[in-house]
Amino acid sequence: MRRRGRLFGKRFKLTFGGLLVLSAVLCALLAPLLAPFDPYQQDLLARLKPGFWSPHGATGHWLGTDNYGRDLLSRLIYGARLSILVGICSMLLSALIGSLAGMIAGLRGGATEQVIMRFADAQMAFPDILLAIMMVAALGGNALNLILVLGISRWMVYARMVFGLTRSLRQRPFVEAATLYGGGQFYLMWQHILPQVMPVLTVVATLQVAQMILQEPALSFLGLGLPPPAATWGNILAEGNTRLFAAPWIANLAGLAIIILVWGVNMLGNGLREQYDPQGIGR
Amino acid sequence: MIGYILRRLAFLPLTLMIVALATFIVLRLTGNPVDIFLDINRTPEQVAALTQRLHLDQPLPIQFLIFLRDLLHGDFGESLQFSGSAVAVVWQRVGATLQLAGAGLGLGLVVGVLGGIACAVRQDRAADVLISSIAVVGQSMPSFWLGILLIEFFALQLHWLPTSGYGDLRHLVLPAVTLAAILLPNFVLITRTAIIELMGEQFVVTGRSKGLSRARVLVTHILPNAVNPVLSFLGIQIGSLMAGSIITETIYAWPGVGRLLINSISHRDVPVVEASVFFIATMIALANLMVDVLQMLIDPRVHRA
Repeated sequence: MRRRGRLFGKRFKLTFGGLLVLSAVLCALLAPLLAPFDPYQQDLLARLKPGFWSPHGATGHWLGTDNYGRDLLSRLIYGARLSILVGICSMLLSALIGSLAGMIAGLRGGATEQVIMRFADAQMAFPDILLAIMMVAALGGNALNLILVLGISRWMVYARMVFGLTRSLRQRPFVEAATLYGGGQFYLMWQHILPQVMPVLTVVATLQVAQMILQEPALSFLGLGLPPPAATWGNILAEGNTRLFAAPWIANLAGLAIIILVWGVNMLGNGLREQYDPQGIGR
Repeated sequence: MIGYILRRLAFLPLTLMIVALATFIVLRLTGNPVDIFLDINRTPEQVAALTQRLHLDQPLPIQFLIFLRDLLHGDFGESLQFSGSAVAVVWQRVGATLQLAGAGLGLGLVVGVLGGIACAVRQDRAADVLISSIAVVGQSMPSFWLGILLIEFFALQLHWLPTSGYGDLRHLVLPAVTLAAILLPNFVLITRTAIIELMGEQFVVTGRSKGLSRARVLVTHILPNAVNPVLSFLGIQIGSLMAGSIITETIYAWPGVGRLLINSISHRDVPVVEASVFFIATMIALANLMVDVLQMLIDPRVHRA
């Protein structure tokens, strides 16, 4: 049944969003098979050539070439790899830190709760990009640091949600019974709390992947992403930005790739929310 | 009520303290600042100067206390790339940042709320589906790509507006629109949801059943109650507003604090980095405080619990 004021049905969102995400993931996994060229191979004789839409396009380069004559289609396909890798890994890291912190705060209460949750509140008031900027500036940009930085900058989103759920679960009979039987804290978390939190956690995590994928281009644009020549969508977009007049398609195609994937992930996440979290706890 | 404001004000130093700690940790504990902020061709004099300025010869807790003491005096040290103190350098850029943030927030809030009202009123009709779908796609858009598209179209193709820079009102248009566009989709969707949820409330049904027109119920019953959810969302969005203005200032070479920060990071100007981070964090804390107080003035029930 369709709820009032919800655009498109749940099934539409799950199917369409899922298909978009699936095709991006397939692109990433099969990149060596799909990409017509080596994404890092330069061809200085074929610099800034337009793609199939122009009669002046270089042969074989469907979407044209960039400033070093590298094939744009291949770079975009390989870019899906890095974007999805960074998005998923940083989501996993922040979900891990955040749900552990939230469960511990919720189960132990008292001073532990105060320290963890006030810290989360304070970081909530601090723009995540500012933290990311400072950390990348201090640590240097590589894939691992990027994942670390993005992961740490978002843990409190999960912590606050999991904390709220854990605190109400703690009062439930099955958790009290497990406590009375002498279940340790990690046993409680793993066996009783986590399974209950999982549906909402999945929804929030999916939507967070979209945020993480959007954060990488922002950092790349500010010169704080993966150093060139890494083929990330953010780098392609940032490089295209310096060639707007000669080759506007570089920036535009990279932007298009980002928007399609993020839109797909958002749609999938919203579909999952309507399926698993109809009351909107994880909002 | 005054008690609440005082209590919130008492939390402000605590928040700023945590910000100071975060700034300190990130800039010093992640490596030797001498290695991070001076390049390979550094002279021993530069190393000695930085060591002395940051008191690197002292143990870390002492360093933090010295950092806090200087902070209380509003002293972040002298800028390494400009002449003058870091605070003065940041202070010169504050006006431009406030101008851009104000214009962007104003535009985003007004257009977003109006769009949300339009959607809610025409719920599930063509106009709603169209505007809401654009908003959903807009949420997925990398903010600076929109900036790039606007430059391509209005500056490079049509030559209507300057591509970047700071000056008269014409320079403000594209940056303000870009910044507004970051906030707009969320405001449309939040306003829409808030109004649609209120439409099912009993006092709205009562209003309609005693013969008030739809427009009248909207203005007198629904909108006043929709102010609070939108305001609390505004509080959450202040961080995005500042993050957005860092990016927007960089796209359009707007001489504000955000661009100064990015610039100082690449020039390894530690005092200015610290001062601008601290300024941005203070702005966010103050704006959040203002939103909370405003919310309580409008609806005292919010904080009574």
